[in-house]
Amino acid sequence: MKKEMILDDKSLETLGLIKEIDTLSIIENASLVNEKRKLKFKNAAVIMTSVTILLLNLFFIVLAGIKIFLLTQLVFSWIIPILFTPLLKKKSILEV
Amino acid sequence: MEEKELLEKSKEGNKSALNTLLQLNYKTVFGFVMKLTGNNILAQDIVQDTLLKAVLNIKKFNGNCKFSTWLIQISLNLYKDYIKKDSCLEFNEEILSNKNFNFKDEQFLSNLEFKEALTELMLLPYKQRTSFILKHYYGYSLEEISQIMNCPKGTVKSRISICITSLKKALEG
Repeated sequence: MKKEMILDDKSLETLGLIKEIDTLSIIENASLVNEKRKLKFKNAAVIMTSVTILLLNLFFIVLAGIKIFLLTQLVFSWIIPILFTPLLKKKSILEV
Repeated sequence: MEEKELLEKSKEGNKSALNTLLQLNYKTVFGFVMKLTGNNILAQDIVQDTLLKAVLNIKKFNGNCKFSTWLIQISLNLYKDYIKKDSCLEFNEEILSNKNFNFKDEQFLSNLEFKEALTELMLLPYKQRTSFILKHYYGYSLEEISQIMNCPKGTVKSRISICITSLKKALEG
């Protein structure tokens, strides 16, 4: 078994087969990979939400008809925001 | 600083502790993968992937074994994936060509011995080779090897004895 000892870690190192590895750059790469993963997850969540809203809207149109649908859209995208925006602004001024 | 302390700090996000932990352990993994693959370039790739995977999953490491053992386990799984993707990665003569190993002239004898030893090791089937490397070079117990390789203790024992018998034959012949 003596011959096999040439494959010992110390021998491999003296033969120059175990090379230096920049572990710090690997750690930096890992944080980049993590950020990319988070971004992918966020993108997937946004796409899923958009598709769900679109399907719900279509379902609502079929169920209630286009006139009621347009009316609810008007309420949700114009009337409610117009009514509530001043309240939100006031609150934010108070917080500052 | 001890390994446990370094691990705790690494899990908290301390990059310098994590770097120290990797620096302390990567040579063991490199040596192991080097013996496992017999290919310097492939070994370097696997070690880098192993370290990256370890950094990404450091919080999942529960500390029930040594950090180096965990790294070895990751590298073994990565090697399995490499073999699945490319079955030619298992031993072939080209692996031992000088392209993969840059020896200096004064290392000629060591080079020859190294190639002979590596050829004998690489001729063994992958599972036997892994068991033998873990037992012979790293002194792992049969139980630890069975955990690392995810197989029964008896299987590891028989693999090692078969491996020793075939190596003895090769060295005598």
